[in-house]
Amino acid sequence: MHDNSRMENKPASPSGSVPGPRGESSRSDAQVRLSSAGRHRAGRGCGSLEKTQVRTPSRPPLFGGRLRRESLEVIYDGQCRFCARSLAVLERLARRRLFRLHDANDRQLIRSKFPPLDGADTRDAMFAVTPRGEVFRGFFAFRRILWESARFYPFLPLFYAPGAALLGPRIYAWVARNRRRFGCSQDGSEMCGLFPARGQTAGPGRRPPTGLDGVRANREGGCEMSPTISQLTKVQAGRTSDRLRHLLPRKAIAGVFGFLLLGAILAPIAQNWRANPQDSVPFSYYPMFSAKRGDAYVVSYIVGLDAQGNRHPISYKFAGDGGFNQTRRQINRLIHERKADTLCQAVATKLALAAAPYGEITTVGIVTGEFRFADYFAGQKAPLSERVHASCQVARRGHGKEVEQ
Amino acid sequence: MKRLFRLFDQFWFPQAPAERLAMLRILVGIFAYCLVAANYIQWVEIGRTALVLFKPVGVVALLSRPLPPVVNQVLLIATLLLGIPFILGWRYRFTGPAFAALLLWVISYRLSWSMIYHSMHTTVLHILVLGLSPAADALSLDAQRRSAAGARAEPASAWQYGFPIQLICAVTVFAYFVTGMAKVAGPLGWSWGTGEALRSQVAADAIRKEVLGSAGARLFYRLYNQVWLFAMMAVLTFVVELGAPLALLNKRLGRLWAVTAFLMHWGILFIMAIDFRYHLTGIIYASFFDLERIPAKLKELRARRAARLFSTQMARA
Repeated sequence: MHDNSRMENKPASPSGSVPGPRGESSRSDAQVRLSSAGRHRAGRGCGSLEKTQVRTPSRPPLFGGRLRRESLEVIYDGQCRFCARSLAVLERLARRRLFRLHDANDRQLIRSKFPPLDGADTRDAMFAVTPRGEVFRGFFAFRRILWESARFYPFLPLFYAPGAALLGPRIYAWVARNRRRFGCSQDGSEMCGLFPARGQTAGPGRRPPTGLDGVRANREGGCEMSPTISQLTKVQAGRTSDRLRHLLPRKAIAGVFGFLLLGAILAPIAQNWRANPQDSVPFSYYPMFSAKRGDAYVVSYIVGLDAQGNRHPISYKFAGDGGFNQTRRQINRLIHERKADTLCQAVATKLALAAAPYGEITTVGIVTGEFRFADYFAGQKAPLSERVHASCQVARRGHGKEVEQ
Repeated sequence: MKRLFRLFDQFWFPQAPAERLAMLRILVGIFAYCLVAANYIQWVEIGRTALVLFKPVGVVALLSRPLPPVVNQVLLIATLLLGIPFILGWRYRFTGPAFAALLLWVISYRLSWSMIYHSMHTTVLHILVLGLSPAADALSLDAQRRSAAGARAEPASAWQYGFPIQLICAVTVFAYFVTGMAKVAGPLGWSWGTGEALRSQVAADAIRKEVLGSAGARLFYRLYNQVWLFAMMAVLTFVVELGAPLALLNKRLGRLWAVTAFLMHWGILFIMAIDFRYHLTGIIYASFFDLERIPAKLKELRARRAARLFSTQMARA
């Protein structure tokens, strides 16, 4: 398992603050700033070669797009086909270039371009370095990459869901540990044939990648081409089972998405043990019907009194528009916040315009009553006790005129 | 290890026909559309609720204060407008995710006023999965367009269709599981299963409905003293909720669970007068069944009727 905290402990830049773009800035997880020297070297190295970018006619248009000058640098295991494919799939889905790739196995290159990563566990996890020099590791690097294209934004809530930062690195670590197993490693294709041929395609409009066109050598970004990727290209050429191998990253992405989603659904279980549990949407801990109740029940409601002092129940609809339970909660909240008077006035105003059976009501009260279950369902419906929070008169126009006359 | 991978692959990425996923898109899409359409006026009004009652949840937590009511209304209208291409499968690569995102927003916004209705959560999650999956590869305008253009047909059965269905099933059962965990982890623990707590909960619900002028379940008055009945219901609830993940292990078990849960919700309606509409319609459990048989059956029926008509006309002639 990769330990993301390792990167947190790395020394930050002398400049101190870490102004990460697009929402990552405030996070301390796995991000450090490259030294200015390293940044300068990285920019110069890739930038100068960018002009000599090699483009072959056979490359699909979606990879033909020019890489933005300000883009991510991704350091990954170049000997892992699964990793290369996964990154290629990301770009394919984004329909544009997102990052420059660098083989983490080329220690000399890494040392020269990214000095702070010298000695980092680049073999265990992917790293993403932003143009500002921030470094993200593993799951957080993957999440940072997703910010690069608006097409991935729908996935972001999932990656920022409660528990994602806990679960994500673990899933990433598992995938990273096993990447050469399901990833068609450079040195053999034993696991490539793990899943039987089915001839699937990935869905509507998604052209299945052919060959290794998805794997972009880092020379495109202007840096030296990784020999491993060039070897890969040769190995791949002419193979008929290419499409199969493309299924693996897709399955991996789909699988990770599925696990993250299920993790986000299960994560709220932890709320049950919190002193002040927080419910949310669409990931909830579903607390309904789990509360402990005694033999009595305390509830707040609205009552009306007519001129003779007879009680009349008043519908919750006079207190709110959001349905029964929402209005009930809102009544409770207003009482709790000592705003029962405001609620009482609002109900009285509405009642003043109401016809039968509310026409006779002269006084409105916001009350909390206690009922004993056994008594109530035996027919004795009067509350054991009742507390009046607010009381106000219903000022009907007709009534007012009569008074004036 | 290989065997384990293969088993995992078979479990998590099962093959399924495109029509099954498409039927799910249509059913869940229609439900979500009706949910927004039927509550449109209420949800517009909710947007005008007092600021003091605004308690943002989910994605709406990005807001520190409510949206202007007109913006809320525009978003609701946009959701309704996008719901139609979602159901019809038109330009689904864009309308699918867009409808899912908008539905997530409007439902989160609707629930950001001091009360969370949990019955809407699974609808949103199902739509999110469907919106991000190739659910319009069949029974859709997109499929029709591709077919008319002579494009290569999508495979009849593939993991790309099976995985979202499996994920929807998993989302459903895990939501139930979390609900069950809340009961066990709550102050009552396993004693919730004695039925007393359930009876008290239903009693409390009945009382508050009566004092706040809503319609309660009359049946509950007759059942209040039948504690054994509530004990049975509590045990059944535990079985359905905590045993839900088992429904993923076997197709038949899944269907059995789906039917039991479906009946449980009808029982809840009769006894407690609580209508979980997504559950009561059975659409929440649709992913456990071979929905692709529905269009095939309809086609067969239509063909049979046409043949009968033809033979009648021939006999007359």
